[in-house]
Amino acid sequence: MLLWVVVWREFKETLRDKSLLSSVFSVLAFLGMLSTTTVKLSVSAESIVFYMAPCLGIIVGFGLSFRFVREKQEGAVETLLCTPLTLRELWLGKVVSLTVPSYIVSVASTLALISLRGYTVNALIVVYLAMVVPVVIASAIGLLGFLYYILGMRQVRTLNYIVFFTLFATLYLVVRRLASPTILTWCSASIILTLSLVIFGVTFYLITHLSKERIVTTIS
Amino acid sequence: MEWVVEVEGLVKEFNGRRVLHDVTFHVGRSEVFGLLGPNGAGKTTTIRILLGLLEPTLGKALVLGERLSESRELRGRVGVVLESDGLFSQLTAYENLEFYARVYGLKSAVERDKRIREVLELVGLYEARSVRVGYFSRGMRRRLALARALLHSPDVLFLDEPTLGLDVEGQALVRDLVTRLSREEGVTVLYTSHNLNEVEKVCSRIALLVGGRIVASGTVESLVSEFSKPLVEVYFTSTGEALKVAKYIRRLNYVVECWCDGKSVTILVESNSDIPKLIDVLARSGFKVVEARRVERRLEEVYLELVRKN
Ligand SMILES: Nc1ncnc2c1ncn2[C@@H]1O[C@H](COP(=O)(O)OP(=O)(O)OP(=O)(O)O)[C@@H](O)[C@H]1O
Ligand SMILES: [Mg+2]
Repeated sequence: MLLWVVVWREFKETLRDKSLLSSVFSVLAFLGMLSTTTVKLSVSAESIVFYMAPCLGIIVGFGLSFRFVREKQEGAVETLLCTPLTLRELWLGKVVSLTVPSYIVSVASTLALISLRGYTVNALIVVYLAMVVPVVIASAIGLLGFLYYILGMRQVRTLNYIVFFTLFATLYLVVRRLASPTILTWCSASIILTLSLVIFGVTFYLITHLSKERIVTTIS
Repeated sequence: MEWVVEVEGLVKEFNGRRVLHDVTFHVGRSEVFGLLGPNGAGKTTTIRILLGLLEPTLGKALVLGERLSESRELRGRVGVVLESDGLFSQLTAYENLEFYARVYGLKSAVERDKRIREVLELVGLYEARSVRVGYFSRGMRRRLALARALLHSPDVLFLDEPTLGLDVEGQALVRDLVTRLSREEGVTVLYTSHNLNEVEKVCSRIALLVGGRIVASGTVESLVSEFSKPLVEVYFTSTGEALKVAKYIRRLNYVVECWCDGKSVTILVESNSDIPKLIDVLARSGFKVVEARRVERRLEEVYLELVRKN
């Protein structure tokens, strides 16, 4: 399958990309800060997992997804669209290969954080981390990638500011809410999963029907 | 005859601004067809429409009888070098080609390796195969882009300014390669370039695009003989004198145009029989002619003339 050819290449690029390293460092710095400032609060493991795992994954994913823009700016996307590859494969390949490192960083740091505090994981946490979090991250990266494809470069910059401040605000709110009773339940987990799947599905549909012209004419 | 590239009545508008007006041309098998024209004429736009990257507003643009955007199989038979090189700077030259080789369906690793080696040697980059493309010079990237386009032995090649940024040897390499591919392997090539000497050597037929319209097309020889009027270059003793002559000569009805360049005046006349008349007028006018000679017409002059006129 051509999809895996794209994924394979993307992985190679990710491994050589210094921005992955800087995302990881900022996540670590944030976590360090978080655990020192909230050490006195009684925070449940569920709260940490519920909020932090998707947030961290999306932050790393956001950091990596500038690759959609770079591919466009450097013009490689034009050449790629002249090959047997389809736009959907290009998009999906990127989503898969950017989701994997984001997911690993997010789960590893969440687990590190809760084990540092001496919590143990339960079935709900495992299911949430294993099934819900990757879908949330993938749908966020997928949507972002789609927007990067259809927007002009100036709009991309605006979008980046919006996403950046939204993430910042979300983190701020999350940290303040960490101490309140947890809302991670089987029900909330399935709602989030469904929502993410819907977003992913809609984006997938839109990508299939996106004209190449839209991408080519928004290159500069 | 079955055409490999068919462009008929092609119109393209961007936000209501028309950049291609009724463009029509056909390219047959193993032809090297040159698309010429000044900056912004619409060459890249035409190629992009043929490649399915842009939608035509009106008209048709087919490759091997089909729309490229609608056939994955067909896209596998086409090679492209666009204005951008389509390379990944984090990957080495070899890895870039390996990726494209897989995309184009070269399944066996041995076969892939052999072919990658072949094309890298062809463009003189085999020694640099393990260097990341981010460290490549512009010309090296262009060479690699060419290797990438040839990787899967395509039937049709679209080359948009393939020699951009190449050194003299690289330009010769592209010329030889294109000529050989079309002669020996029957590859059809659509070629754009601003280097007219190159076009003259490589292209079997050309079309001249100005402001989104085709103003002339045919073989290089036919264009030169059809559109070129006799051109005479006359040298005078000073720039001032040359300017005066130009002003004076412009009034003659058989002088189509004349340009001043330092001490010389270049004069375009209607026909061969006008040359003696012109010399006569100059001799009688009292201007001191240092040297006068008939200029051998090349594609470049015909090109300039046609572009100025349109
Ligand atoms: N995406 C776009 N939106 C609006 N106008 C465009 C777009 N792409 C091209 N044009 C316009 O179309 C015209 C033709 O451009 P094109 O790039 O095809 O020229 P060209 O012949 O390739 O020129 P060059 O020799 O400089 O490469 C230009 O006037 C350009 O401004
Ligand atoms: Mg161009």
